[in-house]
Amino acid sequence: MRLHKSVMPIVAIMALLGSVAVAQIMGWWAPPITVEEMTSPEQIRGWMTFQDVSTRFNIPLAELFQKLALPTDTPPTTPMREMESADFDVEKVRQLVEEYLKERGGPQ
Amino acid sequence: MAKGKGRIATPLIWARRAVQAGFSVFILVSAYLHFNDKGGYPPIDTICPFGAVETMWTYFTTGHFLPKTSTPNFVLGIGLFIGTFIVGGAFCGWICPFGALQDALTWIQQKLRLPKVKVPEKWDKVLSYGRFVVLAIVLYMSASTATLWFADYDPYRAVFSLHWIFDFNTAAWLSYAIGIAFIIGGLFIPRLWCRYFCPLGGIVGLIQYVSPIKIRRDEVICTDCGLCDRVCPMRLKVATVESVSGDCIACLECVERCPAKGALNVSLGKLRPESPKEQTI
Repeated sequence: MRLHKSVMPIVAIMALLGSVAVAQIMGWWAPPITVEEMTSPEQIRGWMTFQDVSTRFNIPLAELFQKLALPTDTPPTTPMREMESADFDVEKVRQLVEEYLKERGGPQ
Repeated sequence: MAKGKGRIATPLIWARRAVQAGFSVFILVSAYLHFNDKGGYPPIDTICPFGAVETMWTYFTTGHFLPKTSTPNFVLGIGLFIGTFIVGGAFCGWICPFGALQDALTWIQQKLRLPKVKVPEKWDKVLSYGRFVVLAIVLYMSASTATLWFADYDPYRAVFSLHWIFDFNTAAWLSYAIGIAFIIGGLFIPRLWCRYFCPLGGIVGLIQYVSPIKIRRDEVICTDCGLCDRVCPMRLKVATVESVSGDCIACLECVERCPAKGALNVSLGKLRPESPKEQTI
């Protein structure tokens, strides 16, 4: 059966955008998050600063730097992604905060 | 040379360019906002369907995403695969920003009358397997390092993430070099990255073999002029098959340029019930 030639791009675009729409309706499409809205370590993002993590999860900066094996004179307003290296990435911060919260028994 | 629409852009070809430009601008704006807005815009890695493939092993074995990947990768990956199952590789021809960039490079090549490097047919076939080699390496390295390993080598990311503007780092020289190499290469070989290296294109190419909607040639109407072969950016042999599959990106250049009206069609199933067994590429 012959179809209109524009069927190919229309279906491809609709499938992609439709998936996004369904995901948004179902709550699977995580919207951008702010520091104030952050409630779990999973939501920590690379653009956030060490100060943001310290404040939101109530972890002293010195302890945070020590556990991350970073120099204690690291500027706290540095976005974490700027410090990424072979030994440090944001996932490491997430795991560390998660362990810290477990030890302490809650986010606050 | 057969008479046809030649290089005159038809409304559908203009529409394709507009859609490609739209998705490319969307990605560039997202990358800009990631660096310049404190609202938490994710990196473009999070809105790439290939991220779903990269993070899949780690997610299903550990329950964690690879860094910089998240549920949007799976959502877009599913959307891409559903579309590909139905209509083949239109994602590559209409949506992918790196595909759009390569088409733009081909346009520049034509305007500047730069020489076009014609890869010998035998080598073209062999090199096309490079996509699966890249895919295997990416899957292995992503799983074994539990990182978004390919991010440091991906030319799409090198160009569209805008790291080279907002977060320039000499340590990332290899990433920049790969990006530049494919930009230069794309000026001489149309769709260089797609044809020989793109791991996502490799997957799309495999899936679209089962797509029911394809470009099909009506051999009764076809005049065998071969124009479709010459305008195909993927260098597919459209003029000698019944249905175009495999690496077709649904750019529709062949359909739009065909001088014999009705010879190339988008169709669901065979064009003529009495047609012999379909020969596909």
